Parts: sequence; structure tokens; C-alpha cells
Amino acid sequence: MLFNSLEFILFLPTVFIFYWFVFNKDLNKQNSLILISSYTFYGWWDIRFLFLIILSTIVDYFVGLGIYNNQNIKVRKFYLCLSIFINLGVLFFFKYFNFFIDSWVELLNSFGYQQNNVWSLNLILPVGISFYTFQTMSYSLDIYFKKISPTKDFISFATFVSFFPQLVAGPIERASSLLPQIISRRKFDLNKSTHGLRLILWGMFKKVVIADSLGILVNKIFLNYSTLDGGVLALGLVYFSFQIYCDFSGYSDIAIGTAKLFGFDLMSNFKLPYFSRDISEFWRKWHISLSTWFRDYLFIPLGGSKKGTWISIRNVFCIFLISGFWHGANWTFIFWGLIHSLFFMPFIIKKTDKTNQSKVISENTFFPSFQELTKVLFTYSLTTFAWVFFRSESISDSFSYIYLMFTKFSFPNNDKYGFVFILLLLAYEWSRRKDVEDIINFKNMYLRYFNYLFISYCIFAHFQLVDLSQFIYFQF
Amino acid sequence: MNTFIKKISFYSITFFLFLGAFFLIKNGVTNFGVKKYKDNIFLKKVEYFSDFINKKQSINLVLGSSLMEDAIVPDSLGEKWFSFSNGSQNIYQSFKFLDFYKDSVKIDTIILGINPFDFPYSYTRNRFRNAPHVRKSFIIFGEDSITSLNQHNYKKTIQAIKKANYPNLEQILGLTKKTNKILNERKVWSLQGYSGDTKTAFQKLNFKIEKSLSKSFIYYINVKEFPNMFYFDLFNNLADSLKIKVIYIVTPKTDIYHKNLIDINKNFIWKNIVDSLNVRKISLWDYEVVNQKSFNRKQFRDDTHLSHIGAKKFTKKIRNRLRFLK
Repeated sequence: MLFNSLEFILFLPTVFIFYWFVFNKDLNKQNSLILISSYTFYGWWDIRFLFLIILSTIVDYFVGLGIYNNQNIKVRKFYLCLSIFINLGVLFFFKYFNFFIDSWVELLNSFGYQQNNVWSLNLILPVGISFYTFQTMSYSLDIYFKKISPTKDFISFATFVSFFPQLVAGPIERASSLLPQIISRRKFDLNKSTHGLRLILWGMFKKVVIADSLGILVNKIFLNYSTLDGGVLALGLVYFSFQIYCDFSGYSDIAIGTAKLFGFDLMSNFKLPYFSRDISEFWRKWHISLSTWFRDYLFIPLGGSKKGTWISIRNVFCIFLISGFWHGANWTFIFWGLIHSLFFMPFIIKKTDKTNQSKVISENTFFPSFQELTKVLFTYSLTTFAWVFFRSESISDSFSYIYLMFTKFSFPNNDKYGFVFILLLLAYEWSRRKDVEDIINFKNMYLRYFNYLFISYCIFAHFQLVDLSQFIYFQF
Repeated sequence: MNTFIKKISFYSITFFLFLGAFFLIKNGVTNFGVKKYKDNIFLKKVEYFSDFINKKQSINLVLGSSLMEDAIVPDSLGEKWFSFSNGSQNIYQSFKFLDFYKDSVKIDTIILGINPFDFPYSYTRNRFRNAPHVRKSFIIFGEDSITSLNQHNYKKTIQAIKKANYPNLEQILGLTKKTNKILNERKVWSLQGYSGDTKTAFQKLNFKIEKSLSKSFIYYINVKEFPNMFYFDLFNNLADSLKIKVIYIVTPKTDIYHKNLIDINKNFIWKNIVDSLNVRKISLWDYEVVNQKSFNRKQFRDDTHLSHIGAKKFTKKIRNRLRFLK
């Protein structure tokens, strides 16, 4: 089920009513309802793949107990490896099997060994597999590192793994944050719920109005790139940068807002990343739940940045390559990760990766200083440049796109209207940058209600009941 | 909780009153009919086809996409001919149609339009969801992952009502041109299913717009270097098993289309498709590259679709060849 579908518009109030009006006195029943709703939400897409979530749930439930109940380091390691092997095995099989086979055959062919590809399988990538496998693995890892204790309540654990608001595209929650909320009693909170609704509204606006409108232009430009002028290609890249941001952060906002309606707090996943003043700040504000996952479970165990410059460089390199690969089984994503690691290197070498730690840009003035503006534009240009690799179908397409963009440049005449959407988004985000968690909550009541009506109308008018566009991050 | 419910109810009522008022202002109080928003051309054709097969011992069919819809006037081929060709109809959907009616009527001959989008590696999956052509209304012949794509007709109707009455941001700000008129100007003109565009003449386009509008881009979505013949074989085997004579037709295209095809380096894919078809023992009438004198730009309404004048000329050509065949 998609958030931007008629089914979800009916599904959400139904679950909400049962949750707060029928099962409100029994925590177990509330959790069971969420679990059933989550399986319905996921099974709506393809019921066959529910078994993968159930498998992952059962494995990590018992692995968690196994690690906790054994003090023998070898046994604990065995359980942890079992969890990692099964979760990554499933992920590898469905997501990366064909990629490795195809790459191997291509490699052999490039050396002159004519090899027919008979091993590739006709596999469907289960929606959100990269998200929930990482979430369940973090549970076993946290128990192994003695950060948390396992739960014996299977329903609560299954609810943690499959919690429908964030099941298919994050934020990737940690057991230490979500599980205690699941096993403790929730009370209806008016402020939290209205905040949740505002987030849903804002997330829908970003997805349905901005991302989908820009998506039409982006698809057209990237499909026809070989025949278009450099100016249009640059435009396409700018549009894609905002399309993917609004698409993914829109999903996260709807997920966080939906969770709030049921009394849960999920972690923020985006904090105005395009207002970042350097790449390291960008990565502290973009897909935060994944970045922190890699930081906690890969970067720090590998030695982090405290074991010398070379170790730090190696670790950053690994993190970005794996992060790129996590996004998809294609060389384009790996290349995208590689480019970001190169962007990040100077900060690691100079140890300035934590320079712009202050939360808000231009905190005391409305407009940014010239220096800040230059930094923001430079950082935005770097990240946008890297998006070419993310969006293109192949590495050669990416390089052709860049080559044409710089060699055939002329000022674009068509398709400029996408800027209206971008300016609208930037106006909202800049004016409300000090309250990033609640962007459309204006103090003035009339302005607030007018704003709600405006946003609701735009969502309604842009909402596609047919040809529903999915969220880009579903494919990861 | 009560405050929350009250707030939501108040806001929802206000919003829907606003939408209702907007609708009334635009349509007037009496114009609530939703019939005009359905896929009427398709439904009408189904209705005409049911009547048609009830009156005939055996029939001949014209199948394919809008390229065939616009290229062949079935009435000019003879009274046994019916055109069930529709915009975005791919070969898999022609297969569905044939499979659905195979026991209802005897079919002697089919002429079926072949296009690049009949050979994609998938109709449903694409990394960035630029899916190949699929006519959604074929869901009435049975639901499957290709035809339905989780979409139902009632949703299409609601979407059409919404689109017609509630302008989106681009339309409010006048940022996009109104381009949805052409489909509405179509009509099922005859009881034999002819629904070609009889009004739109070729528009003189400047070079830049010609490229971005060119069908050479969208026809090749998901079509790889070596085409997927699965859907073709599905149709061809069914027709063979029913002992139907099938003639596969490639409709004429403009020089613009061919030029763009070379520009985007897809022309070799078309060659591979034709090669793959030629190794099969089929009748292929290939008019992809026609003499520019006999089919100049005036015979087209865009870079791939024939205009009504072009359709008359092309149908005559096909009719003569069919006679010769007999």
C-alpha cells in the first residue's frame, strides 16, 4: 500500500479508530492491531513477500534471546553471525544476486571469454527489504554489544520489525528507541496527534505536489538527454535533486506523522539538507537514520576516526561505498557513493568534519551572509553533481550527461516552470528553518488555516488516483 | 480525543464544502453526470464488438495501438472487418482480447500493428517507472499484473472528474499548455470500430519541440538491444492454434521519427526486432520506411500517427494487398 493512495486514506482512519476507540484499554490488543495492520499494509503490495518479514522476525527474536542468555563469547558470536547471515543472505539474494552474475558475465566477456548468462533469475525486489533487514540486524547487534536487553514478548518484537508507518522506506528505527515505546502503554496526546497530521500534510505536499510534478520533467529530460542542450540538462539535474529530496523526505514526514497519531515518536530523517554549509553537515541532515546506522554499526566498530588519518580515510571510503551499494544493485550507485567519499575526504584529513555543528543557518538574521550563501551553494552544487550517477541508468549515461551538460551549454527556453515548485519549497523551508520539525505550524491562526487549506487543495488537485507514482526510495 | 475529532471534522467539512462550492461554480447545479468522464471510446467499442459478432458467422480483426487505430479505416476493408485497436494497446493486450473472445466467434484474419513497445523486457517494472504503453481499460477482460497495475476503472473516473474540475498548481499559474483535448475529440465513428483521429492535422513544429515530443523516445522504454519476443510469441501461438491468418503490419512513420531514432541510437534495436520477426514464419508487411513522396508530412498528424487523409490512403494500400493475397 502506498501512502499516496486511496487505500491508505481509508486504511489509516480505520486503524486509528480501532486503535483508540476499541482496543485503547489493552496494550496487547493495540500491539496486535498494529501488527495485523502492518502485515496488511505490506501484503497489499504482494502477500508472498510477507514470509520474508516473518522469517526475519523469527530469526532475530530467537537470536536476540540466544545472545542474551549465553555468556560464552563464541556462542554469542555464532548467534550474531546467524542473524547477519540470514538477513544479509535474503537481501543479497533478492537484491544483488543478478547484479553479481551479470557483472561476472560482463567481465568474462570483456576478457574475450564468450559466456552466455544463464544464471540470472527473474526476481522481484521485495519492497523495503533494505530497510527492515537493517532494522532487525540493529536489534541483534545492540544485544550483542550489550546496549539493550531482548524482549520476550513476540508480538511486541514483531510489531517493532514491521511497524507499518516506517516499514518500507524508513526511518530505520533502533530497538533502543522504538521497542520501549511499543511495550509501554500509550496515551492519546492531542498536541502530538495534531503535529502528526501537520507532518502528514506537509509530507504529502512534498511528495504529491512537488516531487511528482518535478518527476514528469525529470523523466522527460533524462530520457532524452542525448538530444538536449546543456542548460536543459542542468535544469534536469536541479529538478532531480529536489524531486528525490521531496520524495524521500516527504515519505519520512508521512511516516513520522502517522506514527505520532498512534502515540509513537520516530527519529527525524531529514533536517533541511540543502541548506548545509559543507558535505559533512549535509550527511548529518540527509537520511539521518541510515547515516547514523552506518556510523554506529560500521564506522565506529571499524575504528572510526580515532585511529589515525589513514584508518579514518579507509573507514569513510568503506562507509560511502557500502552506502552507495545499499541504494541499489547498480554500478551507478557505487559510483555515487565513491564520489561522496571523495567529497568527504578533505574534512577527514583536516579533521573539520564537525565544523558546522550549529543547528540553524543564519540563526539571528533572515538572510544568510555572503559567506554562508556561497558555502550553501557550493555544497548544493557538489551533491547535485553526484545525483547524475544516482539517476542515470548506467555509468556511461552519467558521463555522457555530464559531458553534454558542459560542452553543449545554452540557456534553457523550455521546462523552466519546475522552478516555481522549488521556490515554493524553499520559501517554506527557509522561513521556517528554526522549526524544521513542524514547518507548516504558523503562529497566526488565520495564516495557519489558510495555509492548511492551500496545501490540502494542492494535494487534492495533484493527487493521482491512477498511474500512481511510487516513492523512489521503495526500490532500495 | 474529543477535541481532536472535533478539529478534524471541522476542518474536513470546511475543506469539502470549499471543494463542493468550487465544483458547483464550475458546473452549475444540474450537471452532476459522471458518464462523460469514463473511457467511453473503449467501452463503446466493446459494446459495438459484442453486437458485431452476434451478427456475423466469421469476422476479421484490426488490432494494435493508436498507430493502427489511426491508420486503418475498417469499413473500407469490407463489412467483415472490425477494428479493436486503441491508444496504448500492446500486443499482450491484443492477446488478452483474442483469448477472451476466441470461443465467441470465428476469426479468419487479423491484421495487427507491431511497435517497439510490444517487445519490452517488462511492462510493469522500470527503475524510474517510465513504463511502456499499457491500456488500463483492458482490465475488463481479466485482471493481471500488466493490465491492472492495481488500477480500477472507478479510480479512473474519479481522476477524470478531478482533473476536469480542479486545476492543479501548474494550471492555476498558467505554466503548462492545455494538451488533453485530442483524446476527447476522438469518437467511435462507425459500428465497425473505427475511432481514428479525423480532425487533427499535422502541426508545424519547430525543431526543438519536435525532438522532445518524438515518439522515438517513449516507444523504446524497457526495450533492450535484443528484444523480448515472449509477448509476441504468446499472441502468435494463440492465433496459430486457432488457425487464424495473421498479418503483422508496421505502419508508416515520418522522417522526423527516423532521424530522432538515429540520434538516440535506437535504430539498431528496431533492426533487431525486424530480424527476430523475420526468422519466424510470419507475414510481415513493413511500411516503417515509406516513400516520402507518397506519404509526406501532410499524411501524418504527428511524427508517427497518420492523419485521416493518410489513413484513407494507407487503408487503400492494405485493401489492395489483401485482395491480391486472396
